[in-house]
Amino acid sequence: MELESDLSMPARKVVHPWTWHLRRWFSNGQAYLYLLPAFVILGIFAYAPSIFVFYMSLFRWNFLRHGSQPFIGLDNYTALFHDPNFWQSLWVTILYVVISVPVHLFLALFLALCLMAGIRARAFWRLAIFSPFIMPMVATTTVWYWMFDTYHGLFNGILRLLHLKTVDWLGDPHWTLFSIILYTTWKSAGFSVVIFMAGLGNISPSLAEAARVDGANSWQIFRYITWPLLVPITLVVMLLATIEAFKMFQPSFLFFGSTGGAGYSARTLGLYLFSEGFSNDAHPGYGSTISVILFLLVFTISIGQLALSQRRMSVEY
Amino acid sequence: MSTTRVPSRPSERSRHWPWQYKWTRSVLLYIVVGITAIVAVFPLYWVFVSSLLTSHNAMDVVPHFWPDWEWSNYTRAWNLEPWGQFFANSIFIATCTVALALLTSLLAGYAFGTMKFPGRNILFLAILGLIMIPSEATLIPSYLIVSTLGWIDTYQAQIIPFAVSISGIFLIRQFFLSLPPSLWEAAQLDGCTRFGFLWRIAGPLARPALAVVALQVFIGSWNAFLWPYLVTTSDRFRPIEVGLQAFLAGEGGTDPTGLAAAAAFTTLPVLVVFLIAQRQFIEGISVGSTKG
Repeated sequence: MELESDLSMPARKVVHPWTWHLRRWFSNGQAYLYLLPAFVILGIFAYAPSIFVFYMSLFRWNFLRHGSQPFIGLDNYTALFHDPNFWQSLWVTILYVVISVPVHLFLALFLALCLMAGIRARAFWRLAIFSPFIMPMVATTTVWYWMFDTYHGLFNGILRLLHLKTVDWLGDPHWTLFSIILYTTWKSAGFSVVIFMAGLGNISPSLAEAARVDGANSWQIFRYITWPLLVPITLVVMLLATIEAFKMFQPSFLFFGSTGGAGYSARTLGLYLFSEGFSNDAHPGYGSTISVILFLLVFTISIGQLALSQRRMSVEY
Repeated sequence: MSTTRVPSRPSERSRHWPWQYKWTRSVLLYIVVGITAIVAVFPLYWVFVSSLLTSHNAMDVVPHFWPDWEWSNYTRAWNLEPWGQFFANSIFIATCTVALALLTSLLAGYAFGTMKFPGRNILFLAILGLIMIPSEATLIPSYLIVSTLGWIDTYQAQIIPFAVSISGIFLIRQFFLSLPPSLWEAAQLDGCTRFGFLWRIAGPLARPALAVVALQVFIGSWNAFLWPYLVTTSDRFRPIEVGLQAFLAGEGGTDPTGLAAAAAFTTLPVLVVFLIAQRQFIEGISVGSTKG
C-alpha cells in the first residue's frame, strides 16, 4: 500500500503543512468511522459474549432470577472435573474430531485430485459434490434419519440386499457417532473439495510436466511436487475442519434431541453445554463452564495449528 | 509432426503409454467421481421421491426409488402448519440480514482494503480471529445479552447478530486490495472524497464481490436453525427451519410423506438461489480460502 505516500507528494507542495497534517489526520480517522458499524455489532454479539462466558462460569446463574446472581468462584470448575458426564462428552468430542477430520481431509483431497485429473464437465461434478453443503440441516437430517431407519431405511435395505447383518444406525450406542460422521462428512466434504481444487488450480502445470519429462510417475509427481505446494492450503482446510468438528452438535441434536442418543453416545461438549444451558432445569453458569472448556480447546488448537503452519512455511519456502 | 513441436513433449511421452492404461485410468476416475456425485445428491432425490409416494408405499420395507406422483402430500402438509407466515418471516429476516451485512462488509472492507491507519492489522486480525471462537461456546451469554435487550421473540434478534459477515469483510477487502491505486488518485484529483469514491466508483465496481457476500449471507440466514430455535417462542416470528423442526416433532413425525413434502418446499428457495448463482458462490469460496 503505497497509496498514501504517492498522494501526499502533490498535496505537500500546495498546502500548508498544518492543513496537510489535519487533512491526513482526518483521512486516517475516517477509517474508524467505516469500521464502526461492523465493530459495534461484533462487540455486542461476538466479543462481549466471548468475555462474558468466562464471567458467567463463576456464578450459579439462573435466567429466571433477575438482579444479582450468587458468586461461587471456581465451584463450577471443581464440579466439572468430578462430573462423569463432562468427561464422557469430552471423550465423545475428541473421538469425533480424531475420526472425522482425517476422513474428511483425505476424502476431500482425493476427490479434488480426481476432479483435477483432466475429467470432463468438471464444474458439473464439482457442483454436485458441493451441493449438500448449502442444504439446510433440519431437512437433510430428516432424510438421513429415514435412510438410517432400521426397517424401512435405505442403508439397511442395501445391507439386506447384500445379505449382510443390518445395523441399528441411530439406536446402537456403538454406531451413533459413526452415523453422525457419515452425515457430516456427506454434508461438508464438498466445501473442502472446492478449496483443495482452488489450491490445485494454483499450482502451475508446467512443474508436473517438467517432472514427467524427467521420468517421474504420477505418485512421485504428487509426493514431491503437488503435495509440498499444497501443504499451506491443507493446513487451512485442516484448521477449518477441526474447528467445525470441535463445535459439532446440531446434527447430534437434530438426530437425538438434547440427550445425545442411547447412552449419551453422541453427546458432544456442544450438546452438553446446550442441554445444561437451556433445558427446563437449566444451569447457565455450569453450561458456561463447559463453554469455557470448549472455547479454550478450540482456541489453543487453532493457535497451535496456525503456529505449525507458520513454521512449516518458513522452513520450506 | 516433427522436432519443431518441442513444447508438446509431455503428450508425446504419454503417447508411449499403453492405451489400455489411459483408458482404465479415465474410466476409474469417472466411476469414482460419478458415484460420489450420486451419493451427494441422492438424499435430495430421496426427499423428492418420498414426498410423492403414497403413504402405503412410504412404509414399505422395500425402498421405492420412483415417485407415485401423489401431489396431495404437498397440499396436506401445507395446511398443517402456518407455512405462509414462516416463509414471510424467513424472507424478511434474510433480506434484512443481507442488506445490513452488505453495508457493514462494504464499509469495513473498504477501510481495510484502501486506507492506512494505526491499528489496521490488529483490527483485521481481531476480525479474522473470530473464526477461532466457536459460536456454540458463546451461545449462553449471547442468549443472555439478547434477552437483556428484550429481543426474545423478535425479528431483530435473528437479524442484528448476523449483520456482520467475517468472510464478507474479507472478500470485499480482498477486492479493494486488487483495485489499482491510480483509480483513487485520479478520483482525488477530481475532488472526490473517500466516501464519494466508495459510493460512485469503488462500490459499483465491487458488485461481483458483493453478490458473493449476499449469497453467502442469504443461504446462512435461510438455513439458520439453532439460534432462531432459541430466541423465538411464537409462530409469529419463527423462521422456516424452526417451523420445519416443529412440524417434524409434531404432526410430521407420523406423516413421512407430508414431512418429505414440507422438507422439499422449505429447501426449494435456497436450492433455486444456489443453482442460479452457484458459480459465483463456489468461486467466492475459492478466492476466500486461497488468498487467506
